[in-house]
Amino acid sequence: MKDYLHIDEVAKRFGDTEVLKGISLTIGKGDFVALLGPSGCGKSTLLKIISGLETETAGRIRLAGEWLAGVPAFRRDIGVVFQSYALFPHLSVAENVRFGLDMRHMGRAEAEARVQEALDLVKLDNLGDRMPHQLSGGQQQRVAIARALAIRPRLLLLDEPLSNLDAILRKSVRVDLRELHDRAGTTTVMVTHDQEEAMSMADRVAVMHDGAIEQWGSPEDIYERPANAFIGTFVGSPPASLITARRHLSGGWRIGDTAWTPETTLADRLDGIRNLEVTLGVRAERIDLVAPDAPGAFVAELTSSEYLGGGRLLHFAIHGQRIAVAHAGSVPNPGEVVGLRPRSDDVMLFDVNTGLRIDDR
Amino acid sequence: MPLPFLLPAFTLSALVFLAPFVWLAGTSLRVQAEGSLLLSDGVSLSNYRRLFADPFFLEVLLRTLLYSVGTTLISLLIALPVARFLVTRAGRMKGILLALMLVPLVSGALLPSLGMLHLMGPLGVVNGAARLLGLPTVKLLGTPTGILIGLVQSFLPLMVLPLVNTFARLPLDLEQAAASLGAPALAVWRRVILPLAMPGIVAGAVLVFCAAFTSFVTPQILGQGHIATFGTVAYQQAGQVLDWPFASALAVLALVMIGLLQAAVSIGSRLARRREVRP
Repeated sequence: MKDYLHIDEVAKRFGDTEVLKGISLTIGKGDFVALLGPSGCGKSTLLKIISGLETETAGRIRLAGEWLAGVPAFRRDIGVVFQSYALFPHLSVAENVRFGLDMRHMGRAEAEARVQEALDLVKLDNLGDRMPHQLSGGQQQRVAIARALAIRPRLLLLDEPLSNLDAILRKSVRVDLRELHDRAGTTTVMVTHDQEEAMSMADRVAVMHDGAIEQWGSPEDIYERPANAFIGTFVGSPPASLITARRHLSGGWRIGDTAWTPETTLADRLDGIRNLEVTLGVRAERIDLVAPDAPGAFVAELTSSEYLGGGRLLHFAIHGQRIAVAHAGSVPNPGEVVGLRPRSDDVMLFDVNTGLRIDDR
Repeated sequence: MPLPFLLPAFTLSALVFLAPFVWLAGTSLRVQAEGSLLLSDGVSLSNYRRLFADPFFLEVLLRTLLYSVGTTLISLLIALPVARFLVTRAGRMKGILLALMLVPLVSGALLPSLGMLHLMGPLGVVNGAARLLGLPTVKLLGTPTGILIGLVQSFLPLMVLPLVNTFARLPLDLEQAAASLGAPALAVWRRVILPLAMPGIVAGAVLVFCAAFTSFVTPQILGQGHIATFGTVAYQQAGQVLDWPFASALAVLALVMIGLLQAAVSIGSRLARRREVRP
């Protein structure tokens, strides 16, 4: 089912503030989708609207063929895992997981089997008698997920699921959550501000900014073909560096005051777009360190370097603009001037004023 | 803190609270000499024997208990939605509304009761309005209903305040989680809000119950002397009959009952807490 969850021009305003400016999104059954954006972009509000805990000002939502307008949250069969987990402190782990089943007046034996199954799924089968405050943060989160999954929801919503976990746990829970999704098969929408989470876990990512979706695509799409410079620098670690280049009267290009002759492929791409100025987006792993006079290179000065284990991240300055380069070979000395040559096919070109990507590769 | 610094506080407490109580308890064991206001020698339990033997006093005790329980329940029913509204919806008005709530509490028992007199009297606001609308009038003064209304009006803030406190500490997430799991509003209240607000409910109930049980001015004024409660009888005995030993016995009985209630509540809540930390 390709349009399992269909969000149609959903808008939300609080007084004078427009939090969502007409969001449209179509999500297939069984997909794991991330809503990615900085805080205040409206992603959590969208999640609340889908769950029915917040009401949209305009637009409509369809889930599994049913329009949700007017359907209260408690009749939507949508599981929500809150950022705070929101476990009921007066109920044991098993009672928490049972809560939704009791609301559905499920028989004792069936409910108990369902609780066991949900706790097995999150690997907490032996902690059913504990109270929430006796669990670690990671365990509490798994209880919250088990509780949401126990009702066999039509949709699972995760609100910043990893933000309350420590850094080490976060990486393993990322994998766990994805595996859990693959086992349970529940269509999942996750809200996160962390691009690494979104890119590593989701099948498709909606990048949100200022109440609108700026790009909707697979993680590869978003990494390789960001719709604008904001997304280019927001996704990927390290993020892409942006450099402004100006076309020179005599032909050729300048970065700051330094002349630069791009390689033929790149020069052809630049000529194709006719702009006098262009923002180049360069990924750290797609630019090479070469001799200062090598063809296609521009010169830059090393300012600092970070050791990252597998290699180093070198930071260069070129006329006040900064550029990061991933490098595994020998390291130049700080202050040394070297040549940097971007790989012609991998350079992203953005409009200087609008930030929009201006050619399709 | 070292003991010497606490000594002044201990001394003051002993002088102001403990000593009068001890004196009260002692007096309750004495008897007045026949036909005299002076206490005769020797101690006895005869005041207490009289209390439990005379059906009049048992009736008063029972009636007062009934009024107190009634006041507590009605206050709870009113305070739950009111406190909830103050916490979740009142917004900027919360401060003003809370201050208004406190007025009956800080203005003493007398003024509100006199106000209620004007509301409920035969020529009062309620019956005046009823007459204007051609409805039958109701007798409120001197009836249990009137006293109950007065008691609820006086002691409602004692229920609202602890509830406001508890509700303010309940995360909204919990209710939203319950709703997302399929709980309609009523089930959210029953399964999540009320159990978690229990400490506040218990605190408010104890306060209102004790205040109602020992109240004197409200039943005296609104009862119009027709209805005897613990407070009015104790006042009669101490202020009019001038039988201080017997009035003391009444007071001791009230204190013991309140003490028993407190003990029951504290044991109950300790048991509830034990359930939460079971392994």
